[in-house]
Amino acid sequence: MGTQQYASQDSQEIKLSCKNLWKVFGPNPQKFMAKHKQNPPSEAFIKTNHIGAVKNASFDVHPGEIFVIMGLSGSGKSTLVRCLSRLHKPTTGNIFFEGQDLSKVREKALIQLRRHKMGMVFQHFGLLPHRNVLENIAFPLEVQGIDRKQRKQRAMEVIDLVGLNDRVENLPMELSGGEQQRVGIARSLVVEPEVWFLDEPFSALDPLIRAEMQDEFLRLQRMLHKTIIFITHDFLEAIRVADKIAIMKDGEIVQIGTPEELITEPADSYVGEFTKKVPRGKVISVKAVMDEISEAEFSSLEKQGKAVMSDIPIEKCARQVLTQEPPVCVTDECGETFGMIEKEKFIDTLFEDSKPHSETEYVN
Amino acid sequence: MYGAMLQSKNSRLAFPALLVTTLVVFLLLGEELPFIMEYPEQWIVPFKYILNNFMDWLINQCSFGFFTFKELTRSLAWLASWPFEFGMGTLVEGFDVPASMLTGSGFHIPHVSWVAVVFCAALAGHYLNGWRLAAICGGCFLYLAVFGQWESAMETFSSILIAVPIATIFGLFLGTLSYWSKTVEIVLRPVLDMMQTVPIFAYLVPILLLFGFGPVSAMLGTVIYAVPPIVRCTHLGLKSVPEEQLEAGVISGCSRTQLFWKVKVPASKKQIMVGLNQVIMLTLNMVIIA
Repeated sequence: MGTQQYASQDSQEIKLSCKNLWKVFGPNPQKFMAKHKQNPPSEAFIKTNHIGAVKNASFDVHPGEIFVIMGLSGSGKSTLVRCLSRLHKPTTGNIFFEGQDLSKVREKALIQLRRHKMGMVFQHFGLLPHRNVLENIAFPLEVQGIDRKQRKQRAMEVIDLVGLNDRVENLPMELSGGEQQRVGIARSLVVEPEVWFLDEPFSALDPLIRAEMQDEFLRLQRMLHKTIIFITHDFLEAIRVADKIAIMKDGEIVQIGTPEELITEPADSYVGEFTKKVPRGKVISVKAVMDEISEAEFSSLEKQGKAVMSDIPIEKCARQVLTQEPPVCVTDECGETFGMIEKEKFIDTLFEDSKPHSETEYVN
Repeated sequence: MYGAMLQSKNSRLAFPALLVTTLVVFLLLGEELPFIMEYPEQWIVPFKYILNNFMDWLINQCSFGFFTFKELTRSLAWLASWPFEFGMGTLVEGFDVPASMLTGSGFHIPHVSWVAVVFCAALAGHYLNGWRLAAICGGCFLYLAVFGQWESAMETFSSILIAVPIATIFGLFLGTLSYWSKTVEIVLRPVLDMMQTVPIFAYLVPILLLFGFGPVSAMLGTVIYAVPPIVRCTHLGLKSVPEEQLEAGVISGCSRTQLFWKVKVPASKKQIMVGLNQVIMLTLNMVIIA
């Protein structure tokens, strides 16, 4: 999925993280939080007319990772990303960007951070209607005070990247939705940001264009290796692009995990509901269905047929697993056999409802 | 009890019922007690005299020690008449340069020729929208000359040329101020309502008393009359810039000033233009009255 190979999961380095982040709207959020010792129960919100848009969010994002925040509308995902990019000031909690606490940074330093290290793409594009494509894309450079010639040159590079070369002089309203979002993407990349925030970037587009833009996005990321916070309400989109997904509900993060983890071990029925529609064969890897074998077992194993790699999706080896008589062997990247696949487990994973619910059902 | 009625199931009926009851009850009472039907004359508070006396005092007696209030307003009027004099001089009267050391015997600079004005109008039309508009603009100015209205038309034109920019700048300033500050907005709203509803002559007369009979009073009246729409439009325009455009500006690293001039103002230009259009129309209307 996505660009997992670039995500340095093992390294200690963390690009962006938040700790116990709260964003509360209402008459007096600060006082409200203090009164409840920074951890108000959900009943308290209704009683005092406060709304908890983000409740106690904590997570880490590693360099080069695509971190997707998924939730339905009103779940607080947009507010959360606006806290991370400091468009909103969080009520309590901390945000660390390259080790620096963003919740304490002053306005001036924040402007510098935004100018050089952040880029953001918006659901409805957020283009400035009075500026043409080139001027929109060069806008972040203009704000920095870079001279006209230089910013045009840099903007043209990004325009090339998103393939808008023949639209340079057009105004936003003369472009299609997909083209407008390309402008939005180009503008957010023009300063070569460290973190790239995308707030439902493809939700306003037609399904076909959306799929095309997702491919385009993944292509760009393969070239640029940005650290990405990607917001969506579409679970299929999430699993398509994500290295890691955080699922939000009513302001709280319900579960954080890789797409595969969410599907094979959903934390609750809410998460399970989303994962139902997923083409499981495409997402679940061989590793999740195999049984590890010890060296003793290995020597007694009948080695027949071709072994499969542990990191391919199970869809790719379904025919072999189901038709071959002895269990199929699984190898790691170096070709060492370290597991095998039982047919029953394979089928149960692929077809979630295939497990017999109770014996009696079959007797009758 | 009224509150309780409002909260009942039939609360939608409560208000009309109360209204009808009030009307009927006082109609019946009015037959017995005449003061219920007609407001008694002796109850009227003599505000009229108080106000008249105050104006009288303001104009004839109010003084700041070195100068009186009237002197202050009249000198302001004299100061403000300069741009108007300049406009009149350019378009209608020309300038008399008095005799002095520098100029020698003194001479007269003539006003701009009508041919030049017609030509400039056509040129402006061409610049804005090509030959068609050029023909319309030039033709209309020519019409004024042909029908013998040149001089009075230029008089009106020069007042407009002065009054519109003043009203616009003033309006933009107030509109922006009311956008930044909630307090200003709250104070300004009823004031604007007043400016738009009070009949022109109600404030034109006191202005005439304070600033004297002349173009300046006319201009002041015009500004009061024409400013409200542009204040409202500016305010509305700045307020209705879509949230995402503002956020895009902020994340691009705009400072507050950059956000205002590079995002908010251009995005609200259409609204402001509607306001400007209103100013020009109202100014035309008012200049003729004044």
